[in-house]
Amino acid sequence: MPHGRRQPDDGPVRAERVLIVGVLLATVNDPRLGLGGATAATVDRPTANPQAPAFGLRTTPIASGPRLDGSVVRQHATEIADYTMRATLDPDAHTVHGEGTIRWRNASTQPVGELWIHLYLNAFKNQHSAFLRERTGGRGSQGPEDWGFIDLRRLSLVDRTGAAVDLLADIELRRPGDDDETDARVPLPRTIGPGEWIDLEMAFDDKLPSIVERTGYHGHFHMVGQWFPKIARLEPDGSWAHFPFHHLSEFFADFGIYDVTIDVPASYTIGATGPIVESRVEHGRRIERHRQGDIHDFAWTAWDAWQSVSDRIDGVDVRILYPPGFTAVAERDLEAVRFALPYDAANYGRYPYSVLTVVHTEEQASEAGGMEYPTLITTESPWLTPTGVYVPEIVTVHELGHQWFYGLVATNEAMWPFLDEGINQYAEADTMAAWRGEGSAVDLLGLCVSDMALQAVSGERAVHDEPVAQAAASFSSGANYARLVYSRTASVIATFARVYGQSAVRRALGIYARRYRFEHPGPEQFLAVFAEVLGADVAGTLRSALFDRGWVDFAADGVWSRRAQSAGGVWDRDGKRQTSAAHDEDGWEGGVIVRRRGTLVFPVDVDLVMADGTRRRETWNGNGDSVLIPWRGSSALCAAVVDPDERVVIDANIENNRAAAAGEEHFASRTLERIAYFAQIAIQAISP
Amino acid sequence: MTEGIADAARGVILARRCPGWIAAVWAWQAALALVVAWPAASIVGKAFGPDPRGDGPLWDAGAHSLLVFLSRDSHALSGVWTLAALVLVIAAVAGLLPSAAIMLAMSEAAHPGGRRSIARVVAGAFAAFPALGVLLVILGLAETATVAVAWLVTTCIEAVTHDVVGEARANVLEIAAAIAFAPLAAVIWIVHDLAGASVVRFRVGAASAVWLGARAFALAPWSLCWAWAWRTGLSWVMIVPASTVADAVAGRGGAALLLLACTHQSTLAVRTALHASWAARALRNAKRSAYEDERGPR
Repeated sequence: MPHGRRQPDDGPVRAERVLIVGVLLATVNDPRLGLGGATAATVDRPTANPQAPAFGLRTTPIASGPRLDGSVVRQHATEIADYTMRATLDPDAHTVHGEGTIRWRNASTQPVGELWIHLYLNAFKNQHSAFLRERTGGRGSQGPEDWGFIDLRRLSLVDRTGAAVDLLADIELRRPGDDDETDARVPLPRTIGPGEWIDLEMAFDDKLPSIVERTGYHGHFHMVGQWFPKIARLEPDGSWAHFPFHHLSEFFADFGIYDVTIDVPASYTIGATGPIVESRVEHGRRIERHRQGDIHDFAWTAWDAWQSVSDRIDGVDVRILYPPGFTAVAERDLEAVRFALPYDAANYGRYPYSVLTVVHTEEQASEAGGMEYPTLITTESPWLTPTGVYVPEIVTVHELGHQWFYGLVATNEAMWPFLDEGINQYAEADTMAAWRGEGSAVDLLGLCVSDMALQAVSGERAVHDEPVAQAAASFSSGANYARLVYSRTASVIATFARVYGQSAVRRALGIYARRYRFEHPGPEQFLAVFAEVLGADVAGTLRSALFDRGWVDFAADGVWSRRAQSAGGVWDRDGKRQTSAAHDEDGWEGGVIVRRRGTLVFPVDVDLVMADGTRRRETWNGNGDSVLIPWRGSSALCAAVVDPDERVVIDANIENNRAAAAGEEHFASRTLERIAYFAQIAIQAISP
Repeated sequence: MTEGIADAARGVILARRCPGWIAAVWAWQAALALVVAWPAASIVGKAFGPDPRGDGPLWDAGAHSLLVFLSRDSHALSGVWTLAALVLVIAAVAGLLPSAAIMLAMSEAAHPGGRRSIARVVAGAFAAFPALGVLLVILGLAETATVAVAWLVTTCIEAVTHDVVGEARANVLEIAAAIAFAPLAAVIWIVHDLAGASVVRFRVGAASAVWLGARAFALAPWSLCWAWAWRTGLSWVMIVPASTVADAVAGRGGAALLLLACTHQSTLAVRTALHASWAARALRNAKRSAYEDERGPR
């Protein structure tokens, strides 16, 4: 039977909490963070919605958010787009009827005469949608077996007198020569001035696709994402950040309050963004009202087979929804949240919401798994995933991390996907390493594989193809998108963490996450924080790695060693010419040439290994193409290892990081022994 | 032990009478394994030979070096994979000769003063090779058919039950159905081994051997299944402690590596002995089967 409560003094968890508290204390006590003189945070709440209750935010008294850099951490977002909607699901027809209002404010400095509204469910309407035209591999490439779309039935502007002015007649769903209907332009009957609020009334009908790319149905299971007309974000300069639903792209929107009433058959269980504020069953229907402020999207799921397990973790009500028979992996999901929620909160600022829903999908609906929405994430793994193969943990930790890098730090996912997926991939690997150590991805039958090692190898495969920092739709393939946006970004940040210090990078990410909470930063803000914490040169290296396909390959190029000799030759001293022969002296002399290829500069350690087994560590600042490290001592120099602690995770080729003097190379005896053993087992298995 | 002595006095076929042949089969398999392992180790040596720890980094926790090696040297390693596949085919086909030889040796050793010369045993093995080869093909076809039917049945079960009972329970039914086919696959293997023993023991052709093998199995199905199952099960279970030692040794070399090699090879030698023990049992039952056949039905 699933049960969510874990005793607070449980051993491993307690140890982890001790670690987290230690990290926190170390962080708080760091004088460079300027925490000493912190003052109370202000609450930036607009006056447009004076009825603001808790909005799904945590109600426990909290003095203020941490102020890593001395500035004020925002406790709430600036409301720009508030949605009040009612959604009615027909689970047999797989349709959702929706109606409601959008209250929107022109938060720019310019008057606007049009709106841009995203109708992303139309990505699955036909094969001429931008999404289905652009299929370049990866998730969603197979397309839906059953089409999905959204029909806007009513869209009107409520004027100052309360009369509704129809906007649907002039709506421009498509651009000339383009059948995509995911990015609609809505001309307005009048301009909306800066700071002005408007109210829109709408009604729409969704036909959900068979499960594809985060949304749709599979049997009675329904995952309802990108299901309502959603206003694009208006940038401060008055330009619209609108875009079609691209195959590799995710989303971007303004913060607001979402008040959504969901109506499903009574036998169905609902999971949705935000806490339940009303719930009832009437006329054979289950009706739940969810209300959440400070968010920029809303998703929900309904299924008549959901099972659930709940726990209160770090002051947050966490609920796992899982299919029958998935109890064991659901418990693993919950365990992952138990570690990651307080860990991420310590690193990136407290989780500000009162609830978190984790939806674990079946394998046959796995296109819905592994996705983030505010206070609701989806995860996946087979129900029989072996212990030691940390798939459910990794997916859960990853999607939970998005609550910060996407949810709270609401970057433009379409334009700069590395800012959410890449940074979050690093956060995932960091969290998994803190939790599971070197075997953070796999720890099975003696094989320990770290999450970050996987990222390093994956990211390296595409580094010369195209830059990391570019729009999602600009990537040449889904594979390169994954390698560069996720893996390369993570391994680049990991390199900075290992070279310049874990605490420094953690501090930089912590400042970035707190400073830009409830905001929409871009790459320059991210780089500026790194410059602030680690210096302009380091930030320049980071920029090169992200924008300019920056790479580096350290190599040990030749080790030499010989008996030390006195200097021989012809000498003119004291008016006399003397000739002396070189002769052996006590001790040995030698050296190693270390090369740095590529465009990125990092300091690197070099271990010199002597014949008597002793080691001496030198550090090269990495400037220049190469350096000769001389050596003189009582024992012969037999080998050199560049970057022995593998700090430069993005080193293009770690196999050339070693060099040995002539005759000092080793045979791969361990490899021979183990491969022979496993080969012999295979031979025995197949022999008659 | 008492029973064992009595068996010996009666001239019962026993594997322990032929330790030299067991060692020879182990050596043959070890040699084949080295054919695969040596090129792989050479490739690793080129990459990691200059490291003071040799290939130690390849086995470090975290597996960064291992993953980089598999990624960067994939082209070179593809040749090793091809070689490994070839060696497995050779092991299956050419392995019939040492298998026949050890059965011949055990049969002859059961008779007082009946040890054959190595040359005669080898000659006998070559004589049995064609029939054993045909049996191997029949075994392959039968097992493939079993797997195919099992796959079809389990796929249908999953498809039919998924929407009714959910994915996890459908998978459980699928696994249960697959397990239900395991006894059939095991029986096919046992009958094959009994047929092979008949070929060696009575120099019959493949068709007669299959008939004799099936008859031998029918005469003592449960005891044969048990005899096969405990030896096979034990030989796989033995890998666990060997893996535990490997875990403890990790990437270390020197004496620790030597200890690991000794543990691994001891495990493999015992597995070879268990297989020989099963072959002896098959020979004993094959003999009984032929005897019953000569006497005809009572």
